Amino acid sequence: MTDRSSLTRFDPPHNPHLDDVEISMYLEGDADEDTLLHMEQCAGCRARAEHFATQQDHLRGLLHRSTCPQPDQLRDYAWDLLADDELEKSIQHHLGFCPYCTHDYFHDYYAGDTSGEDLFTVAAAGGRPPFRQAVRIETMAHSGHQRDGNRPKSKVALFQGDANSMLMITELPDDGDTDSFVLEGNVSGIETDGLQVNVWLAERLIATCLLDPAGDFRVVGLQPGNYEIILNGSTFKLRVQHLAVGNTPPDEYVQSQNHP
Amino acid sequence: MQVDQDIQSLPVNTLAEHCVVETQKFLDRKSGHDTRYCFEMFRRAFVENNQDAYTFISKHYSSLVSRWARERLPFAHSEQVLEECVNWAFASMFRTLSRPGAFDQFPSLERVISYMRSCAFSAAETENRKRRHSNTVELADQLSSGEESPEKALIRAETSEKVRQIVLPLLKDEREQIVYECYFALDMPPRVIFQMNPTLFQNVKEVHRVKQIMLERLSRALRRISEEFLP
Repeated sequence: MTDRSSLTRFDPPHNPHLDDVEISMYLEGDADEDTLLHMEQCAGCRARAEHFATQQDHLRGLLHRSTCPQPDQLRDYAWDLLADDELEKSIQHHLGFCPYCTHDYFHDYYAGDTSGEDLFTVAAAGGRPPFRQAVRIETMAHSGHQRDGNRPKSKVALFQGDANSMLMITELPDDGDTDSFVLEGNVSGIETDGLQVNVWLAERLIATCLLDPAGDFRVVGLQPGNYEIILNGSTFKLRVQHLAVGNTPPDEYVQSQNHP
Repeated sequence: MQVDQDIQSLPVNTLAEHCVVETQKFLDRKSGHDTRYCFEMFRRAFVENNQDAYTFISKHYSSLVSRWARERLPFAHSEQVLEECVNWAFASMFRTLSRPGAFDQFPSLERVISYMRSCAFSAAETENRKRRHSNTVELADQLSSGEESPEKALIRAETSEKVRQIVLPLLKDEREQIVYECYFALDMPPRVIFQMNPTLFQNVKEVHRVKQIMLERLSRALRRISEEFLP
């Protein structure tokens, strides 16, 4: 039987295997080329990677949103009905970086109807970061070179957040994968430091990245579909409710009723 | 049209009759429906704690609240689950709006109804979180193929607060708190965690290192808890 303690993880001459951190980086797409090559060739490390993946998936499943406020607390924050100032501050802080609560806020408590406008006013009056729905200004398709005869080389959509902020999103075919697309975006007119970009598809968080100092972002490997893009920071929140990627017809926008 | 003062003097059963009629006018798309009767019913329920008014509201609007809750329940659910969501929504609405001054923020029926819809959504989301949690535990049990699963420790932890109570004492410093919150709870990639906290982590590899240490420690601790507390 192999003595596992003799397989010193940080002693490559005696141990050809990757250490735990390298495997973790491999699982999260942060591995370098040497690691990728090693994983291709080493069944033992692939098995360990699979074990880690299962273990961390279990743990993440159990801990998922365990730091989020309860739904009724988030709702009452949105409606400015919380009685507890400390809770209010803590939810405001949490909303500065939590993609899920920000999504819920836009989706469930700021649903693009009349209450949305009311909530915007409430948020602004309370000194909170306002939640803004982006307004599409223009969509342009550049025909240029077409790879499959159907889809244009790129498509550009321009959105306005408020009087100063603009978001431009360019959709490109993914050169590395004929069935997927890349979104390249730029945000202007606001402080972009620390601003997150959350990409949602059918109520699932697909990708999270941070804007670079120039206000640019890039998301790769997107399948055709109707996406929702949310820019989220402690002082700025902007939602693009519908962004059709590929030859996808836009979702129907359903207005809610004002019931007596 | 009666003035609001007159409406406030009407008994609940008369208000209820008017409210039903005016709601039907709205549903039939007839113009000129009067929202004041239904609004007064909400005011009595939440400001005056009138039980009859509350009972009327929870019956009159239950199908609407049920429809909204169903919109936000992505999984197959029983009628019982839906009914629990509806009850939860009304109870939660009552808890908030019966606090002194809370109802003052609702100058119109439209706004009260919008808030009621938010209550339906938050009730559905509460159910969704419970469901996701129990699904994960079941999945963990299946995958553990008969072995004692450390995740069983969290079967009792039905709420995120209880989960947090188990995990928080296991965290040793700010870096671990950030990795717990951003990686384990909010699914952020280590690359983004590093970018968000460049002063706490030297590079993305360090985020991975902290994550791996925590993965081992949390799994070990949860296994110990499960051995102590579960059969």
